[in-house]
Amino acid sequence: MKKFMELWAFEWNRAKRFYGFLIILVAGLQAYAVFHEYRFWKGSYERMLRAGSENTLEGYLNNNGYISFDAVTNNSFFGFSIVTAIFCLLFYAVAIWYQDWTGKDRFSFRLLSLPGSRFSVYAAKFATIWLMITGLQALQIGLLFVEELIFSGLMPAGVYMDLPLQSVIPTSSPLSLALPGSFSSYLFYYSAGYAALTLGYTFILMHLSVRWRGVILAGVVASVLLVSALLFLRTGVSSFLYAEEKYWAAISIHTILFIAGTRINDYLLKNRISV
Amino acid sequence: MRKQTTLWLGLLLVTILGTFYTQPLLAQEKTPDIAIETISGDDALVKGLTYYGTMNNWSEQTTLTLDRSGLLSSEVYHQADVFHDYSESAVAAWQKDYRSFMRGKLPYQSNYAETDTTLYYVSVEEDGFSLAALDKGTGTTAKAALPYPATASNADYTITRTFSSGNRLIIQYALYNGLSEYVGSALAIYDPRTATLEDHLIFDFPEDFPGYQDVSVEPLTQAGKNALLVMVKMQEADWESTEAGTPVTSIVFQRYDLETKQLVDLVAGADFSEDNLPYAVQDSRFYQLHPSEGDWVIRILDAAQDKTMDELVLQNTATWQSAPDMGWKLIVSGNRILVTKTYLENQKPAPVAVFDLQTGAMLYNGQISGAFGTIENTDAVYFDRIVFEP
Amino acid sequence: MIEIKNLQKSYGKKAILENISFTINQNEVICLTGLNGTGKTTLMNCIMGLIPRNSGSITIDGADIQHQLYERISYIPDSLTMPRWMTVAETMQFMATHYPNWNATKADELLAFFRLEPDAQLKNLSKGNCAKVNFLLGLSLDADYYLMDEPFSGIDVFAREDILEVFTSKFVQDKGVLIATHHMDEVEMLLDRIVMLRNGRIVKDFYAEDIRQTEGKAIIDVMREVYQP
Repeated sequence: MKKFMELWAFEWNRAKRFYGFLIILVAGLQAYAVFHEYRFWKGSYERMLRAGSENTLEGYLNNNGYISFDAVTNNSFFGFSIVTAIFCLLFYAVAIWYQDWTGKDRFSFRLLSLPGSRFSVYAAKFATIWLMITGLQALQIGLLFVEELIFSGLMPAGVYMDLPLQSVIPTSSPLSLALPGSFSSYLFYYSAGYAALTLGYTFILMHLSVRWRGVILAGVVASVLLVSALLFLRTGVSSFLYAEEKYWAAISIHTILFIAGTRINDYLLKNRISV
Repeated sequence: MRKQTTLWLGLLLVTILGTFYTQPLLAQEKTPDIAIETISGDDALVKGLTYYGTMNNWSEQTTLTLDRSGLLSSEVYHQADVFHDYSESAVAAWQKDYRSFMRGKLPYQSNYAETDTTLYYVSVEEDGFSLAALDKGTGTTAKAALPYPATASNADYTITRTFSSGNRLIIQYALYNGLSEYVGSALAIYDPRTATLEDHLIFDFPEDFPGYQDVSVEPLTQAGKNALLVMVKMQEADWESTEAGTPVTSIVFQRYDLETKQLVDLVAGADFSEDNLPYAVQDSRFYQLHPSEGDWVIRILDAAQDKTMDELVLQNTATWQSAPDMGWKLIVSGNRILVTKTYLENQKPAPVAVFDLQTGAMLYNGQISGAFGTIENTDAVYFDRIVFEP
Repeated sequence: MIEIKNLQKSYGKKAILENISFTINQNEVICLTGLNGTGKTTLMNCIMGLIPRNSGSITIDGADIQHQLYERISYIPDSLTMPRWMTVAETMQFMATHYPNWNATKADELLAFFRLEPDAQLKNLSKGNCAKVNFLLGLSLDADYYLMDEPFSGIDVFAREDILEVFTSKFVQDKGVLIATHHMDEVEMLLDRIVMLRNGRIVKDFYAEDIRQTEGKAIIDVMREVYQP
């Protein structure tokens, strides 16, 4: 445990600069989205006034309806901020391994020579990615509150409709992926996501263990898994299950894949990995 | 950053996320405040009246059941949930009561027929209908294949209604050609015990007809004899007209005797040519709710005698809206007529009343009232099924 | 004692190490030597589990070598395998955190001995100073065995002198030391035993003093006989 905690702190310290940059980028893009959306509305309202057809907010409402915070969450800059964060995290999730396994003075020598279980090395990297993902989610929650406060302050009261954040989130597809609207969705998507991350690490560790043979083998295993899943679904089993059963079956599969992947990764790191 | 700080940071993030997600779970589910209130009359007259409805807001769908005692059940489905069982309320009730039998079956009421003893399920297969029957008492199930009555090439079948009458299983279905164009409706009448086709009625849709066809079927009984009331509506619309013209509608009433297998036109049906009005069928009579000079009247067609009966004026409807429309439901049961609205708007009570079938006297006057304004952006509760079995 | 028995390592059909068996005793300085590409680094990495072996066993005092036992072995690879953004002090802190047998007093002594600045970033250090940091990190552990891979590779003569002085000091007294190098001239006088590899196999395993006394040969002479027959 001590080794894991120390390595986790080490990996987190290494990632902080990159992460700080990412946070600034996300926050900046989303702040811009708020003002961009406000200016867009203001522009259309002023155009309407100049056209002279309706000169009251009520008239605007009749033609265009209320505006609410989902206009911001559906803004392209807002969506871009989340997509960028996702790609940056994906990049770092891979780089966190390869940064130690490439170059002449590979840190992998040190990591693999440390006394204690090598699983701590794996767990520290995984936990760092988890911390980055969860941190961005927590940040997003905070940003949503602040952005909603600013946007509702900028918009005239007669035009703005206040909606609870939990109901706004599902209306925006990148946001609902990053921060699902309900706990059940969160559990579903993120158990799948972490299982996929674990299997992704299996492929990386296979590459680091037996190089290109490992990649080919991993590709074969992935194809077999995918084909098996498709064949299984073709049996129509999903139509036989009720929604709640499907949900828990999926969670169980995600959990099994996560545990199996973790054990395989532990085995690879202990017995097959190569510097 | 030290390892303790990293750990605390992780715990803080889990707390933030946990709070964000558990807060809605812990918040008391806002049960809709809906009830049937009596204005006058004995509320025993609405015993056996049950409403099944749904309401939607931005993120949730609530299905509820209501009777004179109050809200019987209320279940919330979150639209953010990954999987949904989008079942109609009757199907949802059957899924609850007969979980094993209902497994893997379609969620549409049109595929099911229920009698006192049996629940039937019919689905479209490659070479016929597939029938599954559940004995509600013993729990035993039986399966059979029901052959298609017609062998139209490249025809697609869509079941629009399934029901039972006189120990027969009647499947009403729509036919589509290879280009997914509607070509007509049909009734296939089976004996479910032997899985044999007894008769087949086809209602063709003329290829060049500029409009649409709607076929409705209701079971009729009289002195132990079983029949079907068939209403074939043809609505012609002048698609090229620039004005919003009234579509031309013709409705033909027919009676099909399940014993003699004869289909006859009902001449008296010509008196019931108005469309989009609530109706009900009891025994061999067709009752239609009608506006008439400010009154709400019941027009009655006796399908057995092919005769229009005297109109029945419903009393004390002056406070209701000026004319009935398809937002109302008419149910005739025994000597009682129930008239109620099929939807309820927030803080706008919906009338419900019971009348005497012979005199039209209002025996019970009530309203369904609901205050669900605290449930965000819920426009109305829609009752997709109303049962009145006094 | 570290005992290596019948160690085999292949990459595909190509055998890199074949049937390697020898021991590393405490209180011995052993040189693992051979021409370039003969498998010295591969053998070192196999002992440390940095690359998987195909077969064979490696035990330390009779117990199979496991990651939990790495505390007893200090491995000094041929380059300073630490992130270049770290300072000397940070690398020492890293080692101190992960090794219970980190000797802070020894570390400070070596820091002074090598004349290294604790706040210097690794990316700003010369190759020689990096090698010194590498040694500092390895020798500051109170381990039973020290494995050193090409300790003098590519460093200047003065840095080399500093490092050599360590071998004659108290830092490696009573320890088992395995040095993989082909720079025999620099370390000959320090060695107790020599293990010679050729084409992945051990061709000779002998005590330096025995050869000097019985055959009057220097180790370099023996190497010439083995590698240039």
